This record gives sequence, structure tokens and C-alpha cells, in this order.
Amino acid sequence: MQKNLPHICPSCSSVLNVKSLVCGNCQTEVSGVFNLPLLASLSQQEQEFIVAFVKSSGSLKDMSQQLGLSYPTVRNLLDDIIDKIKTNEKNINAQK
Amino acid sequence: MKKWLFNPFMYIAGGKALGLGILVMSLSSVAAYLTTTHFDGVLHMSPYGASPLWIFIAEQAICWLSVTTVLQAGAMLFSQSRIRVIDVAGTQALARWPAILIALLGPAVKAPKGLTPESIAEAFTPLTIISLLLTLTFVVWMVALFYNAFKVSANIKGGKGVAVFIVGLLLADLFSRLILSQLYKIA
Repeated sequence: MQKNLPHICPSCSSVLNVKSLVCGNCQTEVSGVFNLPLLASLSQQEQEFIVAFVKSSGSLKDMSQQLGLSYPTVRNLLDDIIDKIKTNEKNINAQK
Repeated sequence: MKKWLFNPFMYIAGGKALGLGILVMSLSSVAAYLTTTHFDGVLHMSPYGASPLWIFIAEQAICWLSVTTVLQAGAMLFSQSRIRVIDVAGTQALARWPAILIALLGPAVKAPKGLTPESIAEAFTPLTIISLLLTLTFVVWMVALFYNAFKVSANIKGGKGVAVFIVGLLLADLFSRLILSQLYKIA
């Protein structure tokens, strides 16, 4: 089962922080308060889109061929992600 | 299937859509010529009578160019995305494909010769009523395709997108009628 990384508090809807990180090999645990990277606040699908976008050197034309979608559809998906990132940035800055 | 019927622009846009759209408009022109159905406005069609083939080609081209020009201007004013003319032009051309079916139904849709009960009864036979309903369905379908083409190519969503589209379509209808009325005078 694939787990999605939660980034919004289910209780008060604030942006979540990371409290501890653990080494998968020796189980060493690092504790503290770390901010989640901005991209972690996107959905799995959106993160996969960004990875594919970077892999195709930022070419929307290549992306549209890979995904079997038209050029403006891919551009719209990218614009939606940009909007979401901007909103998340604002929310994070507002909480600081 | 539903997406291909109402929003094929998710998969086809740009040059490919324009190529298919030109084919669609050519076929619509020939169908309109054969059935003498005139598209004398973006949202208007009438059984005026026989004309040379070039008039029917010009009608399709003027209606398409009017919609493309007005919606491109609307997209440039109200969209925050980088809009390509080829996407607006291509998707609007492809969205015209129900016009082939509308043109083919043309001869079955007759206006009454007068306002007497006899002429109205003569015009509105069951076949005419079915053809009228089918024509109306195809017109609604074509407008839905126009809207989805605009939504995909211009990336304007929600109420703002609907408002820009409605105003744009009405303006395009007005422009196309004005241009075509001048063309009919020359012809």
C-alpha cells in the first residue's frame, strides 16, 4: 500500500512540520522541527508530473507526447501546479 | 467516449486540430452547398437557396475567423496562461464538425411560407419537427465544443471563463453577420 505524505494538519488545517527523521539502515533518529519542502505539499500525481517535466528538460511538447495529451492541456496542468505552489508559499509565509 | 465527443481538445490541439478543422470546414462547405444551407452567422443558419460554392466556403471561414479572433482577444485579456493562436484557431476549427450534420439536415428544416394555419401545418410535419430537434441538438453540441475548445486553449476557468465565452461568442456572431451581409451584397 502506498502511503501519501500528509502536509496539512487534520486538526487545525495548518501546514505540518517534520519532527523526526530515521535512518532506514541503522535506525538512528534525528529529532527537531524541520519544514516540509514546498514540493512535498503537492499530491503524488503533481509530484510525478514535475519529475516528468524536469526529465523532459521542461519541454511541454515532449510532455504532451509522453502523456498522450494536447499541448494546452499539459500547459494548463502546469499552470494549475504553479498556482498551487504560489498559494502554498503564501500559506507558509503567513504562518511564519 | 464522452470526452472525445465533448472535449477532444484534451488530446488534440494546435496544428493537428487545425488540419482536421480545415478538413471539417471543407466538408461542411460541400454539404452546405449540396443542401443549400447557409451558415450566415456563427449561431445562425438559413435555407436561403443556391449560391456558388465559394460563398459556402467563405461562410465557414468567416464564422471560424470571427470566433477565433474574438476569443483569442478575450484570452489575451483575461487569461494568465501563455496562449498560442494556433491552439485557439485549431480547436475552434475542429469544434465546427457538427456543422456537417447541421448542413445535411438543412433540406428537412423548412420555414413556413406564410403565417396561415394551413402553411404552418404544411411546414411543420413530423419529419420537420424531428429534424428541427436534431438540428437544435447539434447546435447545442457545437456550442459545447466551442466552449470546451476555448476552456482548454485559453485556460480560463469558472464564472469568468463562461462570461468571457458568452460575450465573445455573441460578439463573434455579430461580426460574422456584418461581414457576411457585405459579402452577400457583392455576390
